[in-house]
Amino acid sequence: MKTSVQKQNVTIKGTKDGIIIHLNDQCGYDAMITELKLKLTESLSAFDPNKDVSVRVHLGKRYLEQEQQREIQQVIEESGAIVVDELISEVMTKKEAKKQQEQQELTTFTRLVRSGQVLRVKGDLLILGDVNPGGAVEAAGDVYVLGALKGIARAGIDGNENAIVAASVMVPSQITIADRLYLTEATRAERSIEMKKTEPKYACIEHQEEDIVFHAMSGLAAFRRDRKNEMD
Amino acid sequence: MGEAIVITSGKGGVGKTTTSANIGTALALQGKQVCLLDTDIGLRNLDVVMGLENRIIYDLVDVLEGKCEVRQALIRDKRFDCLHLLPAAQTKDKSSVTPEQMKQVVDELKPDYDYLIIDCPAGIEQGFRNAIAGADRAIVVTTPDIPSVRDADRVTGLVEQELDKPMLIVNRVRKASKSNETEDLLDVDDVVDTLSLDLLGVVFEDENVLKASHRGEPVATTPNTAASLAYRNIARRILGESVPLLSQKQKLGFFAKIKSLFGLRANS
Ligand SMILES: Nc1ncnc2c1ncn2[C@@H]1O[C@H](COP(=O)(O)OP(=O)(O)OP(=O)(O)O)[C@@H](O)[C@H]1O
Ligand SMILES: [Mg+2]
Repeated sequence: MKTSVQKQNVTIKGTKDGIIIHLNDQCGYDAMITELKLKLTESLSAFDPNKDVSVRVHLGKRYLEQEQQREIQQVIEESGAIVVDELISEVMTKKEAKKQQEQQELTTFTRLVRSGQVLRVKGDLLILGDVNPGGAVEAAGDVYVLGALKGIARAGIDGNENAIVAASVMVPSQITIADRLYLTEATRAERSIEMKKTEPKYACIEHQEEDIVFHAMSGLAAFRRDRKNEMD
Repeated sequence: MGEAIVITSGKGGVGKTTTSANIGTALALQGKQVCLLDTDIGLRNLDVVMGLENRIIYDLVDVLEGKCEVRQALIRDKRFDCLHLLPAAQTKDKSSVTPEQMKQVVDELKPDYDYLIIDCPAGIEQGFRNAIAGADRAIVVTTPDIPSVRDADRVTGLVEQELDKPMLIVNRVRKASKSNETEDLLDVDDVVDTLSLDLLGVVFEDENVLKASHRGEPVATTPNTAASLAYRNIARRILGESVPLLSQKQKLGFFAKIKSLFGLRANS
């Protein structure tokens, strides 16, 4: 017996933010691809062929290999002037989950980082103590120094340009955020004056294509808000 | 059972040997049984500073090679019966000794003395490893300039992997009489701040140090010099007495006061 209305494996919806494609997570992968191709040709007339339309694809609880993700993206983009913004899945592998957890973890060290010593973590790094000249602290996320940062700090070492370096006393010899490098040009005299100041600061990449800049810590909330808005 | 204290710095020429000789002498002055160990193999000069270079028959490497007993290699000081020196070899190099061997020698000597003072070579390689191998604690010597402090910081990090937090001696501190003379040097507080170590003593720049080692008599044996007083105070602090520390600025104030009181030029 046939049900009168077969469950749709692919639904395409237009919203004010662009197009959303829902892919059923209960059917077979090949059946889904076939239906996707079909539906896309059917609704092609609805899109303006001269304009890039952005699409988000919801995968439900389906886990896709990278290969498959690429295939879906290709199928959609080949069908017209469509750009796939994002493939959203509610599931991930254990490995990805572990990696994500590590990236979000804050690791705290209560110590002085001396010349020649290097501390590195996968998430964010908090140092309760100074980082002396010649010492280095590195994180895939942010670096926070509750003390004087006189040595080297590297944030976003896996390429995260939104990472920051914050310090109670900011007199670094070197800061790296993602692939951007800052080298101090302050003289020793200038640095020793700065060292007496206790205004906390943070370093960030504010605009693409520009150098690392320093701001008073009070500006950090706004910076974070802007970055979040950009990402959503 | 004695305590073995290694004197180290990372950077060369900041005063490790001078400090070893004078702390040893000052402890002997207090009646302690002291043995000085020179581990700067190939570049020994603790014997010269002590004025004992002509009495060397055997050295550390001879001991390790089994050519003699440890006690045969020890040289007794001219002035103090309770002060001995185990000289380093001059003809060998640092790789002819291992940390395990050093520790053996130190352990063998410890029961006979109150203090073993180990003079460490510059650097952080084999010679440094040998010197700290048998030590119970460390004293880091630095001069108040950026390169020396940087190396002291590095060496402290390495010492801390093996021993407790070292004590700090800041050597060759200039009196801040003429400000232009000292502006390119750090003040003692900056040094202590950066290294975050407990300050065991401050030794002023004093021409008597050089004069004394020229004569082969450590400056601690001469009475009225700034350096001599500093080393004797350091020895008293090692013995557990609480001798007040004068910071550079306090010192200035103190001397300025003396000067104005007596109309004298303070020379210490
Ligand atoms: N407080 C001082 N005032 C003046 N001169 C000093 C003082 N301390 C050390 N010196 C001089 O500095 C020079 C180096 O000192 P010393 O040999 O003790 O250093 P070192 O750290 O043992 O050197 P090396 O690394 O070569 O073993 C010597 O000529 C010594 O006389
Ligand atoms: Mg020496």
